[in-house]
Amino acid sequence: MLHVLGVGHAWPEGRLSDSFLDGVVELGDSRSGSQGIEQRASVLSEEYIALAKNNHVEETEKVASDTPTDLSERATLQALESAGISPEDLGLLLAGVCTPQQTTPSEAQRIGKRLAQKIPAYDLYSSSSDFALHVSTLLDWKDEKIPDYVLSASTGCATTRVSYESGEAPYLFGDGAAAMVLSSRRTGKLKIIDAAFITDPAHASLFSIELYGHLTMSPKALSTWIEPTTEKLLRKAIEKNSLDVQTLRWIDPQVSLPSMCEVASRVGISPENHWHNLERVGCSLGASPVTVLSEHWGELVAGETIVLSTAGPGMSAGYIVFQSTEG
Amino acid sequence: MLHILGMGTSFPETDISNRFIEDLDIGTSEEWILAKIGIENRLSTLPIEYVESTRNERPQEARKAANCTVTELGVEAAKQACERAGISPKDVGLVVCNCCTPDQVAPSEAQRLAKELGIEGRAYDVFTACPAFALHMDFLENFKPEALPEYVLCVSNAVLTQNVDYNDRSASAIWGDGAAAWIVSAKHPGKLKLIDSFYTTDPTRCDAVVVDTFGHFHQDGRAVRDFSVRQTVRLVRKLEQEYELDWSKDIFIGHQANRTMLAQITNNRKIPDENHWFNVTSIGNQAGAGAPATLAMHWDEIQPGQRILVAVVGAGLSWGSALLEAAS
Repeated sequence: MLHVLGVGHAWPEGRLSDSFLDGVVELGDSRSGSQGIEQRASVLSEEYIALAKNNHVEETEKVASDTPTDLSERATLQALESAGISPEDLGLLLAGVCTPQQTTPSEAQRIGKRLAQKIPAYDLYSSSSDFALHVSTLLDWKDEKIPDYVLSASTGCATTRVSYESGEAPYLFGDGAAAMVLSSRRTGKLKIIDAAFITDPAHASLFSIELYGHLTMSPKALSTWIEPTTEKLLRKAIEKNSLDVQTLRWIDPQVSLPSMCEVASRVGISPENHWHNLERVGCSLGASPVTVLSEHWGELVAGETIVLSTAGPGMSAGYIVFQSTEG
Repeated sequence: MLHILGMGTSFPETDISNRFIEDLDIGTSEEWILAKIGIENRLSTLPIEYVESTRNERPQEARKAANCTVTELGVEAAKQACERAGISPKDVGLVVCNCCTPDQVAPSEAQRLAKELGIEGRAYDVFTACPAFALHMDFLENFKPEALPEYVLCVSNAVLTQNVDYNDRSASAIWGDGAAAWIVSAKHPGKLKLIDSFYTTDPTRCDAVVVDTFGHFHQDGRAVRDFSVRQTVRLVRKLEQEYELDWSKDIFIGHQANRTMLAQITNNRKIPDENHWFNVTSIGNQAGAGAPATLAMHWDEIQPGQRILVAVVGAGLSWGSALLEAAS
């Protein structure tokens, strides 16, 4: 049995508003805020985007306010604090990053350096479903192989890979990081009762980020893969774990608010039980759903059930089912 | 108990010889390279004309100039591993990959490989750069056997010549490109069984070996060499004692960093040349692909009952080992 002892998140300070993007991006047939987003967290300044439109992604290294590792460090420190443990207590670091500043060493090792820890650290990476991958992997491990405390982190600065010339991507993506402290030996605020992770490599080309180029997401990715897969997995989580849709809290993958509101409606989840922050910070891929969980950490009530869904590049998707153990 | 059922390799075709590097006029010579690191040749995905004319000053251009991609190398290695294991790629239920030079940062390299191979199972990256073989075996060993699919495809591929600054005499002489793949099963016996695995890291020293996303490979050469020799010797000594390894019949494979470093290790542990397998002299350092590729290249020579110790080190800084035993 795995428990979540603490959660943390971090965003850069900068925000990109609809009104700013409307003045920079060629909209074509799309329109401002089409995914229900009003502003996005970004490591890039409005001045840089207005001037360069991020046509040369390597320039972002010089102008970004934070690196992905800066964000994951802040999220990690917050997660450790909320778990009430110190970095020295950790026995394993797992991480994922979709926009690495370096392709070697791994993001987990860079986080380990910031924490000054000499412990096993490596990346377990699936673009947007890192947390579902990390948790489902740990649930599949022999108990004796799981250290007392495991850090699971995901970070990314997707805005550094967006072309601000045209299209909907400038309106969708934001930057951020999230982290969870997991334990199989100590009881935490959330008990993990189930998790799943799937990939569909046949559709990998729907959503990609070039090492030296821009992010591309097919207009079909949301309607043909992300939305139906999210709904299918959410229904599976509910059925498999006999969850009450009237009371469960749902955190969607944070890719499109209108689309996920429709999923919630079809499944029977009420708007007040559908948690999201996409409208305020944009989609930061793997980190996004856990940033939502982290924002609600202080208000969790004993006995609550939360389903956290993930979906994105890979194509990959998953879910984690949590049950709150204390008020 | 994990088994390895088959292994495969793939290498590009461009030779980068010591004479070529000497002719770049960057302050090194054929003799110096041979004496210092013992590498005679490297295989690269880059056309030799590109290296000569540009010195790869902009790695971004290398991706466009390359004769093949890192994923293509991984696919070819995977096909050979499947063939040797007697399975089809469609039988694979999980792909784990280690790639330090991906063409895309999303999706993961494992997902790109799975797409090309028509694999419908799960796919994700398990990444640590050079000690990939130890990490992948140790990672899979952590699973409850029933949680693993019948066949797992592990791949480690790298094209670090595309991140070498060919005005840098040290880096120019080290790197080659390649891929290794192996099929692991907890349910089906194979030619090799895993009897011990270990992996750990010291992230406080992770800046010692770096590949900048928009730049070149760079390392603290002396510190990394000292660390690599010392850590590998420790790993070998520990397992010698624990498993009574017999270097008159058992085999040692180290991280394929360079020949002189490997010689320091084998001299220290008194491992004879005939029981030391390596490929770095003819291919260069292939990062995480080097050690498993060496094992794959000797696949048909493995003797029944023979034990093979793969001890690997590298970026992270990280290190680990996998001790294998051939079926009788």
